Amino acid sequence: MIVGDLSIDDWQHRMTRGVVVRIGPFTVRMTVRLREVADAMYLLYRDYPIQPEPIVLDFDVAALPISWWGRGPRMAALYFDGVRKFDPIEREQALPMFQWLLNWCIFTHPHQYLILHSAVVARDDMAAVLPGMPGAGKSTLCTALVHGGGWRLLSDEVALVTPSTGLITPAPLPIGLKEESIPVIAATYPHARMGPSVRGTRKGTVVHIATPASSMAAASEAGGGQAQPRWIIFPEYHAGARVQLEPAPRANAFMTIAADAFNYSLLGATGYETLANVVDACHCFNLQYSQLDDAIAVFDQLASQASSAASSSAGSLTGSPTGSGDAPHSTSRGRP
Amino acid sequence: MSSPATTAPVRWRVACPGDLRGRSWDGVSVVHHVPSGDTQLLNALAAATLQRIAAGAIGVEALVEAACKDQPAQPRADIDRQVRTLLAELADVGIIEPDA
Amino acid sequence: MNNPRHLLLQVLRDPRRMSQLDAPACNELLRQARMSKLVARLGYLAQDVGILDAIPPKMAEQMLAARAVSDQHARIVGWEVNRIGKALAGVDTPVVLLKGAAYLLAGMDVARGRLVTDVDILVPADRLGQVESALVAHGWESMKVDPYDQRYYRAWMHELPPMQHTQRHSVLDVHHTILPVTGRLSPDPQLLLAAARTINPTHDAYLALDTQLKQSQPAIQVLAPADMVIHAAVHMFQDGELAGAVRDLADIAAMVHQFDGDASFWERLVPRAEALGLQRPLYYALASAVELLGTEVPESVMRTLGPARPIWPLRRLMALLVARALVPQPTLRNDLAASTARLALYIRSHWLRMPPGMLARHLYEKAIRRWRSEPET
Repeated sequence: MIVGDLSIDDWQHRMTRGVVVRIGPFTVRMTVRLREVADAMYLLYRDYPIQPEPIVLDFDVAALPISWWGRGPRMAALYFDGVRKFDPIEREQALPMFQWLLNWCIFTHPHQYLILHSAVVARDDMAAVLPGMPGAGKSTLCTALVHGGGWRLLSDEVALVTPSTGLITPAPLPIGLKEESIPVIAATYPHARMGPSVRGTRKGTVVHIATPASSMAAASEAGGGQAQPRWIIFPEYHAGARVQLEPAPRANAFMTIAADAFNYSLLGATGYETLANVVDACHCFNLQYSQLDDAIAVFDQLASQASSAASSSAGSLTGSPTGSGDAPHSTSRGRP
Repeated sequence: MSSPATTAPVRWRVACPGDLRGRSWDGVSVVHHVPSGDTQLLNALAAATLQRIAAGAIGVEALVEAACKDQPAQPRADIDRQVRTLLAELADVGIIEPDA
Repeated sequence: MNNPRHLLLQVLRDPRRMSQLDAPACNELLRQARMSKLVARLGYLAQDVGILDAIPPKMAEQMLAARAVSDQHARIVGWEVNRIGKALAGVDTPVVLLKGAAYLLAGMDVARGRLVTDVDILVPADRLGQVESALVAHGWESMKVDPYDQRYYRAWMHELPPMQHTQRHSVLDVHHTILPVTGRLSPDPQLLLAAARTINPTHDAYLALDTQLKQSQPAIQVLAPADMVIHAAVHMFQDGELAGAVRDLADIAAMVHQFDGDASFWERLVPRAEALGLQRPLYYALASAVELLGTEVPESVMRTLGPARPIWPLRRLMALLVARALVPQPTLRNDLAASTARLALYIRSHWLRMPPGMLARHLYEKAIRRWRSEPET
């Protein structure tokens, strides 16, 4: 059963008592007693599976109104494990803050994975990791690839890498867009379902976009829709720039990603080896773009080259669109 | 060794030899020191120098000598400065230490 | 004991129960364990009794994820002790590790899955100045710059103000005794130092110290077994932070269990508490462990400690307070009774630390400063 199988009244009613929704590998009980937030989530989480209770939970989160001497109706509080998290918030901010709380759960708990701060999209089982440099247009590009490019969303915020396999597990949440990217996406991909826009957050005006059913279907398959990282791409939006894909030095990519990861240090040697395996398995690029379609074309070209290389001869994976010969298995390796 | 005239030469060694991991891509290395949890980005000269220290306690003059052979085009003074800076940094985070 | 609020205590008492829990009980257990920072410990307990495969995979997964955190703490503490050893190499002083760092470096069962957020060391009072200078020379600095705090720590407390390493940001507490010098209980630190034993290092990072260097360094020591248990008891009831007290109690139970095989431990325990003047906290801790975790303590020990018992009404009150404050309450259901109990214990333990006049001044100055630093929102 998915959220969309319920009527909105039924969903509203259940949210007040707690519904367990599956987000990738995680079982999350959400209790929401803010009608407008539950309404928005009905739209944003339509294709997420509902888990029958009782079930062992990964996270138990709630958003409740605070009733307090007249100021009450305008304020809300968020809870994790039944304990209040963060300071009380203006009720209008509750939707993005609740989405942030869900992200926070995934950022800070599942240390069975190396948790990188990055968007991840995949074509078949080949994943592109887009590290999260603020302001680089990661979310916008990610939205374009998912809604206009036939890529599936693994996550807008985290790459969950399993140390023993090197594979990335999807845990998609609705993508958060901010400010000027909102009208661009709304105009270019009118079929993308958007939640209400919320003004005055720390990031300005934000809007969340429903995860498309196609991404959810893969995440619900056997194996959980895991994908092998094949490319690390640092996107950089430049108004008016021609699309340009350049190889990026791998060792520097390692350091950038490690510094920004959520639990690289925590995992110690496991974190190091896991990230080194990811970098080993990937071509690394800097991507400069201004037009989303051009950027999508670059991604599609990478995917088709990789597919044809894989089908023609599995052992001789060479070449990149820029002809740098930056092949994953040509690197030297060893102890210094 | 190469410079017997130096007074009280310090020989350097890796603090916990079994606990150093490294990979290199295109001549640049990323080294992880397990006990301190420290990860360092090292250029070719730095990686080769650390490799030599890991092979056995060695003095700064011998390290400079070997680095000069690797990169004959670079002035010795530059290499000397680079090696000494590197040793100070690695000692500071505890990856290497003086051999008593 | 069938109250679901006591689930964590029940499982600590009998880890096999974890394989019989239904999903709602698993969720309640994980919630309580997260609040008490015992999730990783439960994973080890499940492993010890061979049921890690028999509990729900989701629960086992969370226990192993939590283990990654305690593994990191162990690695950091091992390296910090290594660095402290180097920094104090020129100082002629014993260095006695206390609490978490001691459990870890001594390779004790109680260290498994335990979080350690800072390192505590005990040094003789007359070496305090040298130790502080050596640490400052090696990159540590005092965290309290506020003159009142500096004065409070140095004059009234049993430690230097916490020190932090400028590069690694680790926190180090340097003690010269285990209780505030002005408190009603004043155990002689000389007794503790004299009985401390040099550890047989089992920790990986500690092994990293070269043999030669080790000889030139101060001996890294831990308290004698009886002193370790007594110190944990004191810490639990005197430090004014009862919110995480289940963990403290579980520590005491695990230590007692490990030392149980050594007959001399039980023989020494009570006389030692008497010599240090710490019978009452030891009584509280052991009685709580017996009552709440089913810890086996020889009848003779409890009987000998009998005179340390508070008179009856206070004893009943303590039992009630402990039972309530030990089990974390979710604030969503805001259990007013439990928070009242914790507040009473906080005031009580501050009262034990300082003469009454001083307590009033301390709380007053704290309140003033909190008020003055309140953000304008």
